[in-house]
Amino acid sequence: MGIEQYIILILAAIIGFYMAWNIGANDVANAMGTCVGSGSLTLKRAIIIAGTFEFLGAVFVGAHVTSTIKGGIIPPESFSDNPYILMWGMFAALLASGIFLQLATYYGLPVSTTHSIIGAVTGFGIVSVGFYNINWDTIGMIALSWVVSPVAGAIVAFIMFFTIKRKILFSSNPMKQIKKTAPFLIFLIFFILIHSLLYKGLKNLNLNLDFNNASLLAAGIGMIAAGICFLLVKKMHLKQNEDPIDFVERVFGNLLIITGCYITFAHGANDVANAIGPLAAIYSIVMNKAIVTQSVSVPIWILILGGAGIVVGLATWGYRVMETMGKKITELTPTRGFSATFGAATTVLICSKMGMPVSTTHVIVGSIIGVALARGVAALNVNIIKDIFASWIFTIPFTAILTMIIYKVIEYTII
Amino acid sequence: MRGISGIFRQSPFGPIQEHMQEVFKCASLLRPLFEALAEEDYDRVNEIADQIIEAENISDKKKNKIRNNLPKDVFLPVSRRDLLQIVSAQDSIADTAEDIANLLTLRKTEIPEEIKDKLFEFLDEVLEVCKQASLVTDELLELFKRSFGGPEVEKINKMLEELDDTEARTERLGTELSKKLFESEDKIKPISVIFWFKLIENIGDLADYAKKMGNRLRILIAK
Repeated sequence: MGIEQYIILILAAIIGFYMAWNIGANDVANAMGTCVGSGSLTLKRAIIIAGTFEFLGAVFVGAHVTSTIKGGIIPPESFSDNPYILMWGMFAALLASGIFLQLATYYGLPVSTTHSIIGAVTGFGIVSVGFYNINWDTIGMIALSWVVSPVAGAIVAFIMFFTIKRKILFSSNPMKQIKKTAPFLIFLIFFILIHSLLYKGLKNLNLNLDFNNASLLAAGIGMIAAGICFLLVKKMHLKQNEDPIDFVERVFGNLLIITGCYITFAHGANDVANAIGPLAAIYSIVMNKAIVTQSVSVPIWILILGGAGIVVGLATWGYRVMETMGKKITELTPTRGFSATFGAATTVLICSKMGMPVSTTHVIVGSIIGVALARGVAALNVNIIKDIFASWIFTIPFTAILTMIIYKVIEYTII
Repeated sequence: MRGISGIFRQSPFGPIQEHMQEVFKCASLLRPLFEALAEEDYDRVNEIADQIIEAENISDKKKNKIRNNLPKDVFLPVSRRDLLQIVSAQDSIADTAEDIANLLTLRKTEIPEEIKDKLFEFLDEVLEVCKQASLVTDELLELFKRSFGGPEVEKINKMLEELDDTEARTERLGTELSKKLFESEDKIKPISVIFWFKLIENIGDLADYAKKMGNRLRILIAK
């Protein structure tokens, strides 16, 4: 490898890291906001948990979505004559969405990192291969997943809170009910989480199980976790003058910490691709000096770089967003926070496994609406929700046009 | 730098509870006010009347804050109209207490001996209705915690039944008191008779608004 290639790779790694930094700064707080707001976690603990699980999710499951962004939107064959066009295009896309995200974070707009990178890659596609050569079918599918995923999150969260309400909150003996239900909920979380890790996951560790084996192992681990939960909850007692419902909330406060791990894991798995997908494309072009059409696995150092970028973003800017959110989301009690986070995490994780790059932010908004529809939220600001969903329409053209401009500048100066 | 936290608005339930506490504080000052009147300590009457007016001001501010926080585009787990009407009824209690306090500062009034005992009995019963109403609003947060179902609903319905019973008693007492007033109309100055007739009506209104608030809450739960 020549010195030029090293420079290009290092540059790409820096921009990819910058994008990952932005994901950590903007997005993670949205995922963890419910945990901090309900008072289940202190800011410091939330940062540590989020950092750890974002990293794990990014490194272990992150590769799935990566391939969709890399190859799905623009047919890579179009660049076989001059692969460096694709390389610089990915540069432009990364830079454009990084800039957009930083502006959005600065001005407090909860935009989607996923939408911004998809918009950027599409913008590059339009200036390079032309409007008609882009895989609009793939983009259509991605766009559809953006509509479906918040609805799915809302449905899961609604069902979760509705069940909690009927089984526990309406019960005349909520204490007994929560002690019975908590281990089951823990089983559910661990099963889905571990399953996503084992099934077609952990490629980098060569631990690739088929669906049935993954299910069996996940169920086993889930049972153990449920058993531990059963013993722990059994030990919890009503404090003096404590309302039984407050006891229920206290138990859910602990469950919420687990869903906090769950959602940051899912977020890392889903969103790291937004930063490292283009980086992985650049890497494979630099290494092979050509477009590799068949799917190649993403080298682990790139996943680690992405994960680390998210953690650094969280530690430098993200904690401030989280702090503000924690102060603002105090109305969300642990039962509600649990339902919303569970719904969002499950949806995001399943979508990631299916290779669909969905927006964690929008899925969380959908899940909170789901809880609200089950009469779980004291007051929602409908206007802001409209604004958030309007950013769908706004984000994509913005990053697309910005990418076009950056790419044209690179084209004139370098290529 | 606020992420998606903007989708949450402040919960109206806690503030409605606080508003009612302020309203009840305002109404319960009527007891010392009438005691001062019975002792014909008019400086003290004025002093307590000022306190009532101040408490009404504070509760008004709380009311406005609640209303400002409930614009049309807010999504609530219960009907917005019912909530606003609960606040309205609570507000009317404070307003009426202020009216009574104002009336008593207008004129150096004496409590006619003939109605004195009955008047205090009536006032205490009315304040009991207000207290019960305030205890019911105290359950609003708990109701939200339970997501508007289960044993909490039964508990509130029982409290509301009691409130209705007490209110019915105050109506009876009010009528008896007015009768007593008119029975002694020859011994009391005519203006005083009219004055006290109006006051008795106003005091009765307090219980009326408290009942109205309870009725709204009943509708809110039943939906």
